[in-house]
Amino acid sequence: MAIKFTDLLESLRGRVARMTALVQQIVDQSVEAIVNLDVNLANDTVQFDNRIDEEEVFVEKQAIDLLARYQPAACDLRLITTIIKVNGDFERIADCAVNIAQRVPLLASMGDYLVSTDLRLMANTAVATLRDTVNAFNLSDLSLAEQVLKADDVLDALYHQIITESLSSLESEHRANRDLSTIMVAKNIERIGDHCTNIAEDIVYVQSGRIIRHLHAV
Amino acid sequence: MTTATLPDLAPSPMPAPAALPQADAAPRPALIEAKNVSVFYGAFEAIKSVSLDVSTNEVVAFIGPSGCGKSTFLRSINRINDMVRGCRVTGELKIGGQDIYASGVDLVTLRRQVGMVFQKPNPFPTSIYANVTYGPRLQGVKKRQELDAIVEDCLRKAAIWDEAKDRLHTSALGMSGGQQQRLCIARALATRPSVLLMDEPCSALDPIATAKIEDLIVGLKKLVTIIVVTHNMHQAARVSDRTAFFYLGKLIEYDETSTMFTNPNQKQTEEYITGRFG
Repeated sequence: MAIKFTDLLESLRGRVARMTALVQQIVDQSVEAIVNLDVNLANDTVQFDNRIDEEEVFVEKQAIDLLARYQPAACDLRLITTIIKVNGDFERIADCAVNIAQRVPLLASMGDYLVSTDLRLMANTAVATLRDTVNAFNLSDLSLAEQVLKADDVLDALYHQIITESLSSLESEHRANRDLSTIMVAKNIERIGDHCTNIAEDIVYVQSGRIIRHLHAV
Repeated sequence: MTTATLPDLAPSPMPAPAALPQADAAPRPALIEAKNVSVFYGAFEAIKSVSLDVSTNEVVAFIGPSGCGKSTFLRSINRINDMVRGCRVTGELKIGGQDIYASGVDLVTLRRQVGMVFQKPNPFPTSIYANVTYGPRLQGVKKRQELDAIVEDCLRKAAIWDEAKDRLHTSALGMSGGQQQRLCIARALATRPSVLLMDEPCSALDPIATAKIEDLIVGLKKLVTIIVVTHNMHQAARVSDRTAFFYLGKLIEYDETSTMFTNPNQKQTEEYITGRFG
């Protein structure tokens, strides 16, 4: 029974790795779509989310099945409960990617819209943070998880900078539409960072048993 | 020879479930204190310098693979190991501050205070009533009314009164395995012990009977301190306040049960609890 459980747990980890690859792909696509104002790619991105939704449900069912059938303890219990939690965070990251992609048709129709340097930087930072988060989770790398926690400050700072600049130009109706979309895009990129933070905190829990949520320092 | 005095426990009705423990609650006093206890069978050291405390009114589970010494340590607490030829205990083992291996300790008194329930239900081949009154009669209780009250009180505490009240004078051997085990617990309670030792009390029982015994263990801890040896990891997690993990005669880890089953300190404990060895 123990050997079978270990195999099933490895299989579950494999499915989570597959889920994380899909989430990285959808975020990459959404960033590319917004940067290039590529409406076709944006539409593909929205459709792609269905696969991730299916994968999320599959992982959750498998994890609950393992809990029910094997009543795992200690490191196994921490891992499975964490998989259930991060599975939800990864799915929400995909939703953020969809929200970003859904802004592309409007911005593309404006003709004069250019993605700002700050927004581009923010998007690239989120992609890199997500990559580190996925690697930290799949490789059980505690130090990389701690780096992810620190990286969120960069995203937050860029987000506030973009908000401040956008709010100052809301008087003009044309610019208001454009800048509200920018704010929404920035907000969703910032949320990707928040979900990465949640996942990194859960990685710390799996590896060390420490719950660091709501604490400022690791 | 002087007879050692051991703590007594007056019978009391089953209390209501306890409130959640307060964070600043004072630590409960240790009822059982083992310091550097080693147990030898001839030259073989089955228990190697084990030190642990068990507090009043808590349930402690002993876990570990077969042959790790958990049952040997359990049987040292009421000196049943004394009956094993060549068995020798060193170190200090106190109950209520009294060294139970000191000269002059009366074993009958000790075993009245430290009751024991075994793996296989072992009711006497007599009536249910006679099983429960066996201990009190030996202690000199003669009055029928008093014995009747003890029988009802103990069978109620052992959660078997409703099933047994109409057949008190029929053979205990006619009961199911689970009922027999609860009768054995009632029999142990009849001598008003302060400690109840349970050596794999559910291993011969079906899941329903096991659940009843587990409920009983949790309920009884208001009356007695309970130490349960179990191979069932989930049972240890469900019923105990603290868990001790033994391996090759050593106490590897002893901590709050929630800690032991979510984030144990020792790698060996984690590997055993997760089924990776043992």
